[in-house]
Amino acid sequence: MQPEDLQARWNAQGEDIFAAVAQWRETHPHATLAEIEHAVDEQMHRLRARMIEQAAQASAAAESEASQELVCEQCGQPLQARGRARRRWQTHGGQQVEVERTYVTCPQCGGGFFPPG
Amino acid sequence: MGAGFFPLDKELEVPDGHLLPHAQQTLVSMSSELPFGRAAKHLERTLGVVVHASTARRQTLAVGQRILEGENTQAQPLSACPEENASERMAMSSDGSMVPLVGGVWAEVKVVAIGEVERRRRKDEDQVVAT
Repeated sequence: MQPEDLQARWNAQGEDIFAAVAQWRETHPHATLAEIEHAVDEQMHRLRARMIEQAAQASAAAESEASQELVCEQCGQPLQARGRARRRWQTHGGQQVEVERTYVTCPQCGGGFFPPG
Repeated sequence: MGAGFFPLDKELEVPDGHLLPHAQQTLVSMSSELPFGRAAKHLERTLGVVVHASTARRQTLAVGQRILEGENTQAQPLSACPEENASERMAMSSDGSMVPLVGGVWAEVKVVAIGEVERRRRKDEDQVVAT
C-alpha cells in the first residue's frame, strides 16, 4: 500500500470520527468537561487503533512479496510461505488491533511452529 | 533444527502477549511499583486496557528476566569473545586507585592493560623498535 493510500484512508476515517464527536455534542449540549473528554477519547481511540492496524498491515503487503526472497538462517535454503494467520492485540480504550501475517518455514530444515498469539 | 516464523513479527518486533507495546510498557512499569492486581486496575483506569493480575505478573517477570539476562551479558563481556592465540611477546601494565562509593565507602579499582608487542623497522633507520 502506498503512503498516499494510507493518508486518504485515514482522512476518510478521521472525517467519520470528527462527525461522530460533533453529532454527539449536538445531542449533549450540557455535557460536562469530563463527559466531553470521554466522548472525544472514545472516538480518538478508535481512530488510533485503525491507524496502527493499517500502518502495520502496510508492512504485511510488502512482506508477502519479500517473504519469497527470505532464506533460512540455518541452512541458507529459500523459505516457503505456509499460509497466513491473524494476531490481535489490545490497546488504548480497550480497542483491538488485528494484523494478518505470513508464516514461513524452511523446507530443508523441516517443520515449523506457530508462536503463541 | 527447523523453525518457522512470521517475518512481519520480526520486522515489527511485536511483544509477547496480547498488549501493544505502549500498554505493555505501562503495565510493566506500574507493576514494578504496585501489587500486580492494583497495577492491572490502574491500567484499566488510565488506558482503558483490561488485563488480569496474572497477566501483569507474567509480563513483568518476563521483562525482568530479559533485563537480568542483558545485565549478565554486559557484566561478562569477554565471555562472548573468541579465544585468541597468545602472541610471542606480550606486555602488561597494571594500576590501581581508590574510588569513593555511595555512603562514604571507599573501594579499590584495579586496571590492567594487556598488549601484543610488535617489532617495526623505522623507514630512515636500521633500528628495530618494539611497540
